[in-house]
Amino acid sequence: MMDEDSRLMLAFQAGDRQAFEQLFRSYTPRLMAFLLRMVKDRGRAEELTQDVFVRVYQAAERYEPRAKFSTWLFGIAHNLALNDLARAYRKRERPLEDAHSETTADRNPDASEQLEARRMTEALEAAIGELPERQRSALMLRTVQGLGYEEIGTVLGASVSSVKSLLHRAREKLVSQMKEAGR
Amino acid sequence: MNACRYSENLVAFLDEELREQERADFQSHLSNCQSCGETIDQQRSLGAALASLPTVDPSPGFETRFWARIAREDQAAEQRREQGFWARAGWRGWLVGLTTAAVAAGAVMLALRSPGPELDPDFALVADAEQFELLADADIELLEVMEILEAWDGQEI
Repeated sequence: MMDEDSRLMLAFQAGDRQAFEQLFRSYTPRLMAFLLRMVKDRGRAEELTQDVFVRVYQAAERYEPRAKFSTWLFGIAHNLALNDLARAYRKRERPLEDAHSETTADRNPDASEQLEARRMTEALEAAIGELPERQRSALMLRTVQGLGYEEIGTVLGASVSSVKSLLHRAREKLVSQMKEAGR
Repeated sequence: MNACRYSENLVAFLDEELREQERADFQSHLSNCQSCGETIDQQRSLGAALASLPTVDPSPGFETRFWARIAREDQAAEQRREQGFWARAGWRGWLVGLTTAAVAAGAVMLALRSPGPELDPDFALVADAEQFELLADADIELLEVMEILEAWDGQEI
């Protein structure tokens, strides 16, 4: 059965521009969250989010709903993030900006009871940033995007058992680092 | 770290991604394994923390910048389509195009030279009323000089 977002994409293919606008608005925050944690640079994450939708726009004529729309979309996002990381690595550029700068949490007042929660969130973001790329991708696709193991496998080009293993290792590392941060 | 050999199924169990039999097996394992029980609690806390990670809002002007990119993309696609037409047409297309242009230019030249009744001089010679007035009051000597210059311009030196 075709998902609602694939239907919207087909509507856009048939000329309904509002359908594309709807997809753009609905997926932008999730794509930003995923890409920011992948490339760890807010400016690049924004640029890549736009790149993803430009690709979607360009591919509209050729689009066929073979998988869920979200699987296809995050597949594009993942590939673009990998290319970006490879470019940054070749240039020996280290992302300088903190992954969660100017996030919603930063706009909250620095009430004392929020400081501890914020410290833990920062520790968690840092720990996610330290994960190997594939573990990080799998984790973000699962926890932030809610993709199933099979969909994650499609995005990463991995089997379901590999996805299971990636998520297991990623979460074990995070638990271990959060314990250290909590001491 | 959980050293239990079943622990790899733990995350999939929490994610509800185990098959029915695997799930039943793991549940029966959980009732006997303290290590996996503790890890389940830790993983649930981690899951809650991950779920509460802050959302990320794009900076102001993000949408405006995006739609400007899409407008540029539309323009580029239009250009690609035009270029694609000539590329598909190949040298024959160019030949047909050039021939058509040459025939059209010849027809215009012919129309300019023949003062037949079908020719509308206002339409053929001038683009607007100001030019028309200029031509209507034109100095005949100036037109003669221009003709000489044009003829001279066409000769090889």
